[in-house]
Amino acid sequence: MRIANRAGAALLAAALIALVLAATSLRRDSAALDALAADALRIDAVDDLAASTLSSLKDAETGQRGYLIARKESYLDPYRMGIREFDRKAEALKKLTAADPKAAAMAARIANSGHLKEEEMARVLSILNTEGLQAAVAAVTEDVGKQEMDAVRRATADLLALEGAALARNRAEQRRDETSMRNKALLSAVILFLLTLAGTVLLSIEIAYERRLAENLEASQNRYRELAGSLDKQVEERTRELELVNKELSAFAYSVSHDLRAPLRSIDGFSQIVLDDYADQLDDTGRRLLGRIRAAAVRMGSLIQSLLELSRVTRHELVRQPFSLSEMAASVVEGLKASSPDREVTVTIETDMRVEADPNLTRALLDNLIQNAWKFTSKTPNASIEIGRVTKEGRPVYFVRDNGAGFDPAYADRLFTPFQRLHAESEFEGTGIGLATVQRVVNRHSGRIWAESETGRGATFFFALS
Amino acid sequence: MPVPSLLLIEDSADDVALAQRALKQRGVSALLTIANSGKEALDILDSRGDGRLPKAVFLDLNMPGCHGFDVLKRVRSNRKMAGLPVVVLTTSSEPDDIERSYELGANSYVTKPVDFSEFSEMFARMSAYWLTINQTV
Repeated sequence: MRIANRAGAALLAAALIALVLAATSLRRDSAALDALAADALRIDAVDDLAASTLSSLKDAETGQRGYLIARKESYLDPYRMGIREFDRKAEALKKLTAADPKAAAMAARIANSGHLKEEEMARVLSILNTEGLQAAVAAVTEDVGKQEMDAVRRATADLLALEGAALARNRAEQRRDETSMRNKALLSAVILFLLTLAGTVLLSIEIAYERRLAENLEASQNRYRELAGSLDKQVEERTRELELVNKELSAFAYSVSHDLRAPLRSIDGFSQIVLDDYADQLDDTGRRLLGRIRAAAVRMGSLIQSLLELSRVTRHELVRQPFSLSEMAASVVEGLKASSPDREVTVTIETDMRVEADPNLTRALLDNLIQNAWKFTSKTPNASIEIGRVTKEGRPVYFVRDNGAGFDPAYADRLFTPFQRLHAESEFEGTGIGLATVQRVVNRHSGRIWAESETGRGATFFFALS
Repeated sequence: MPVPSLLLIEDSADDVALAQRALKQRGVSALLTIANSGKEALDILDSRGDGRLPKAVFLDLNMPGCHGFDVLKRVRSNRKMAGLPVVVLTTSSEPDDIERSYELGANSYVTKPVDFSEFSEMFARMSAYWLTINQTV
């Protein structure tokens, strides 16, 4: 993974973490704000209820006083109603302030003093009914009711003050929380902006990197194309050089065939003429020496001929076409039989061996291999030659097998080297070029050739032509 | 009756001597005219009228100046000599040379053997053959 990618991934992770943190924190703040708002509502409700509770007690007192003065039953209704309302509201106030011990104590004071006030009012009414107005007024003037009423007023005022302070605290907290939320939101925005900025920078680095990569790729491609072009040119040049060398080789072969063989013909010819015309002036040694000169000239002639054939195999343009290897081998054998009719050799050729190869080159190959078999069985009684086919690794491999002189397997690798002879020339004549020619034919076909033998037990030459 | 003649176009004095020796050795009775170059050969042939052309021409290929192929082309393009038997007698055994010779109208192509006995027999036989076959003169 590249650095930019890694940094990008880190940025993404950081952005996600920042978002999650901001969201969690904001949610917490928001919940706190909600709680504060609920608390503020509760405070409002306590204020209202406290005021309303006091008001109900006042209603009851007003009703009671009215009855005292007017003695009308209708004044007792607001009295009773006020008391009922006060009791209910005082209970509600206790419940509403239960969470705050101070407020709860005040609510309890309101309720207690309220109840004492209620008892006083009831006692005054009872005195009125039993002892008359004078006694009742006297009871009122004892100020017990007023004291209790004042206690309720004070407790209510205290509660209102307490709740007012709580509300102020609540407001302050709300403002603080709002500020904190704003700050957090701002911080989150700043962090996200910075992360986005960093991401943008990274992206532009990445884009620049990609562009450089693309440029490098193009440069490489151009270089490759140039190289390929120069390689093509080199191949072309080499091919031209090779063609030139081939032409030179061809010219060389031509001059070898003409210029080197002509003097040999003269040497042989004039030696013969000397032998014919001056026989009486030569003794046996002289004649024998001239005979050796002739033999050497003829031998050199055949060496040159073999070399020419070898070079021809190299120069010859390879043209593959299908033909019967069996028929070609039969034709080679026929030629050998015709040239030495006195020899008796049992030749077996597998039928229907069809190959796709260069017929001219293959002919040179078969000529050499079969001639060799023919030659090296010349001293073998019941000589036999077998030409056939086996399958190795799924491919056809052809062979020429004889039961002749064979060769020492230790020298098998030297068989195909030009001028390499494993037998004395006095034993088996030859130029030592035949198998080199055979190998070149096989090489031209991108094939393979190898031989198996033991001295005195014949030899088998295997070859594949593809 | 004039002795029938053969024309040997050959730049090598040795080969000329060997050819003469071969005819003599094998008892072939013919007048062997020698041309040492292609140009000389064409001059000789031009100077001969109808009925005095040789029975056969033995033509070497690789000669300085006028190459054997040029001589062959000139002979085949000349109405008077077009039917003249031409045997290419050369040291080369190159397939290209053999092919080209027959393309240009050679009657025969023979590679000179190094072995003089073989050469002698071949040359004498070829000469005797054309002396017998060619009755146009």
